[in-house]
Amino acid sequence: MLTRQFIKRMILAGALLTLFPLAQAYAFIDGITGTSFQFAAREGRLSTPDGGNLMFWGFADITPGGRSTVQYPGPTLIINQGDTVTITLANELNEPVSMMFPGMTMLSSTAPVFSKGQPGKITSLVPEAAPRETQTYRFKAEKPGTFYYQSASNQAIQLRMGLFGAIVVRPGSLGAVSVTIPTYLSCPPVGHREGSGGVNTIISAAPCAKNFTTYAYGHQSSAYDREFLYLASEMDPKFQRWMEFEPDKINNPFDFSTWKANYWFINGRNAPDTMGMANAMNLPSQPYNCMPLFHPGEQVLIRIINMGQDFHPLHTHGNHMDVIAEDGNLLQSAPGSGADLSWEAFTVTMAPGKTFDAIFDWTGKGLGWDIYENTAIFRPYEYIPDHLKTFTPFTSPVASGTTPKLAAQGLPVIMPGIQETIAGPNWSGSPFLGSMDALPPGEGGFNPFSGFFYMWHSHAERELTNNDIFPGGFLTMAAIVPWPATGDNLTIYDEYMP
Amino acid sequence: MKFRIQPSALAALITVCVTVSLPLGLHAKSYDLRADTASITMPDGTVVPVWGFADITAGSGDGIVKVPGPALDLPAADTNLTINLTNKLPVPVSIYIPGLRLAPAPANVGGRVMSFTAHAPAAPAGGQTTASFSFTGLKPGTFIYQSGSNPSAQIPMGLYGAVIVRPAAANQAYNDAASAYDNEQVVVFSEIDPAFNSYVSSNKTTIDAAHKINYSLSYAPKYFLINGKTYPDTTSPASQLVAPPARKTLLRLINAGSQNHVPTIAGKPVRIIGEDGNFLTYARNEHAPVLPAGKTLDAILDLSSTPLTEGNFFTMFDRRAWRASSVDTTGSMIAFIKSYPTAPDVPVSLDCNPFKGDMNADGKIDIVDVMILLNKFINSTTDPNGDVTPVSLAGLPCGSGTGVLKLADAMYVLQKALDIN
Repeated sequence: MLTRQFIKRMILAGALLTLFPLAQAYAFIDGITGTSFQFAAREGRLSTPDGGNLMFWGFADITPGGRSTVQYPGPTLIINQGDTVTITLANELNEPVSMMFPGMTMLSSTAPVFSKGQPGKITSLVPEAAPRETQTYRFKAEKPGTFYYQSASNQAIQLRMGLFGAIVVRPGSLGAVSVTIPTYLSCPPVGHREGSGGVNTIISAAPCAKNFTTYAYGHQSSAYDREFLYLASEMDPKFQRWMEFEPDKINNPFDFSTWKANYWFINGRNAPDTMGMANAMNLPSQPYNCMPLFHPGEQVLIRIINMGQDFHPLHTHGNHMDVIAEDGNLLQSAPGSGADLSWEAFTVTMAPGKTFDAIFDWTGKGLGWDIYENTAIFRPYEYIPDHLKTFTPFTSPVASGTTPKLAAQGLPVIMPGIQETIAGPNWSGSPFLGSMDALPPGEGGFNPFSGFFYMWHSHAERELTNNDIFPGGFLTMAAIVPWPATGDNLTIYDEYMP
Repeated sequence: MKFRIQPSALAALITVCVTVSLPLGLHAKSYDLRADTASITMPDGTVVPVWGFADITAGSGDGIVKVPGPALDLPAADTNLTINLTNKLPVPVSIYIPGLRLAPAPANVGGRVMSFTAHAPAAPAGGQTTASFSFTGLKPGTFIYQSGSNPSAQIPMGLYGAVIVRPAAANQAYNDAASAYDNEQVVVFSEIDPAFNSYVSSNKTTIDAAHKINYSLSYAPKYFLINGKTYPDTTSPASQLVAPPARKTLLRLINAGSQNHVPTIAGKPVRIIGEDGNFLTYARNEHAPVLPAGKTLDAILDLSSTPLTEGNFFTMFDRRAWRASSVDTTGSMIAFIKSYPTAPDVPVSLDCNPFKGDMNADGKIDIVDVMILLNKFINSTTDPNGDVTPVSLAGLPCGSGTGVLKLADAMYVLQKALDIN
């Protein structure tokens, strides 16, 4: 995370460039925008990768022109700081449902509801929609950040059934902020964005700078290039089946002391479905995927929300995360000081009802070998000392390239013949980023640009299963895709993935 | 390893302490506690055997066995605490306070460590034993005292309570102005598994040798407690937490249970200013503070920008949404924080409560209450309980305090009777 630390330091000296309207981020968080929404609370079914399916309760966006399909989790609201948002909830379930918005300034009533005023019969923490009725909620999004909404009625059941969703509040424009790139890295590609062309021709001419235009919070220390959502939830299929099939729930109640999750979800899907396409046709009630794709050196914002009942240790491979915000609050020592109280972690404890924002980046810094196996040119954000390092080759075989450099000083290995090996679908045939080599017949193919794949997952290993089948559950792969020579390879990648 | 101080020796020790400490400007608060059996009744009628502490300090203790035990609240700037324990339980009991200095003296029973410190031995039938525990050099903060003997059995049984150490400055949690508050509430979280307590109560251990069951392994709480009460008992006036509008309330959050909790106030963030008895230089604003087993957090519920006249009724709940059964909310970890305008802040004390309108006090609002209210309205009889208007901004029914009934009051109660919200 040295790049990140460096950026934080540089911001103190960084110059605020000319103000211009905030460009739309190249967002990988799907959601709905606006200030007025109509939601329905409905029953639906979701698919699990072991071939099963479970009943859930969720929210559907029934705003005219909306998706109108009930989904798990509910639609992600992407709104702007200062917006006054109105949500009319139509309850199509057979028990009262409500919505609460922690962190928002409520403009509608927040009084708890007691059935017929009986102190022992709390039905909701906030006003609710009775079955076949509606209830309207109004709030102002005063602060930017990562938030959520959830049912405040009969929570033991309704939270386990799926009545929740994410809220992203975007800050007002800060304009473009120039950040100087550390001299140990090569320069960013011109324009920093897909399709700008000619990025492989950049040769380091330190110092160089980069302009950021997107921020999670109203401060430069929250600048990012790409953002991804990690919304966690769990299900115990025993409970879901009780909800669906038990005809006499009063006399045969569910004993919650026996509730134990056996499915773990990121953005409403279990692995490997997490890595499928967003809005996949085969997962109509689970529109959101979780497949972080980014280039070396990019600042990747991870919005972390736990809507479940259990704690989950979110673990990133490849690098540490820099946690810059908690519960929608930038971790700062004083207003305006930026995320100077941020902390680095390779595991963040996702607590129920809690949100974090973390920034991740990856340059290959410090690996000790040239990840591009290339002496001719510098790639964007390449770690220069490793690029310049030369190793004495141990023995053959030597990977492709005219000037041999070995990938780390490993033991001399005589690779078996290509006909005698098998490989995973993400193996490019080469240990070098952006290089492709010979593959066994019929193998490979999921890594068209020869990226590096790092697993980001719950480190409670039991949670890497789908009802006892490994691998699955709370798992997804973050793909570091080399900068393209031209064009927009992440969009192509997105379409290429199954 | 037995540790017993005779009353005469104890008196002598206290005399020595007082004689020595006073000239140095130190204080030494002393509590006499009794560990004893009791039972508590859950809202559904289930009676659960517990072990608890009673305050038997001469002149101040009420001698009632409580779960959680009595809060040990030290006077300002007091840096020493002595607890004289009288044990009437049939098991050895000790007291330790995580975070405070105590010389470890593990007590072995049958080759196994059964206590972190010297303990009061098991009481003989009808008798009692004693031990004394001293803690010196205390720093301000919120702590837990609990049994240090066979804790996997004795803590779920109820042998725990709050310790509050105060700085010299009044209305501050720590020696820092940023920890200032106007109002203070101690909130102890814990759980109860009735089957576990019944077994330990009759067998004094967690191990059922005959059936080869270790009850610690099957511990599955059914009731989730806030200050020893579970919902709906937490709604009784005596159990309600209070955070007046226009004031800062310090919530001393303590998890004395065995599960991790996420105490959340519906829609309201708190400012975490202390953790495990340590002041945080940089406070954290959180909606969902994580309170693992054995942890304490000092949280400020800052309502200083709320108008003096604005009534509210905040719900505090565990975001982990634990509950015993799917049928109703009995047993849940839900409590309420009253935030009503009161005299002398407002000229007329408002009386706000979501339960207002229960005219015949039968615990529910139905059409009978509407009829009673209408009858009183027609006869111009005043009744503060039926005076439910004006409805405040937060949606709470508040009476103006005069008790003069209007037709609008009857309509509001009718809405509640019909379950229209």
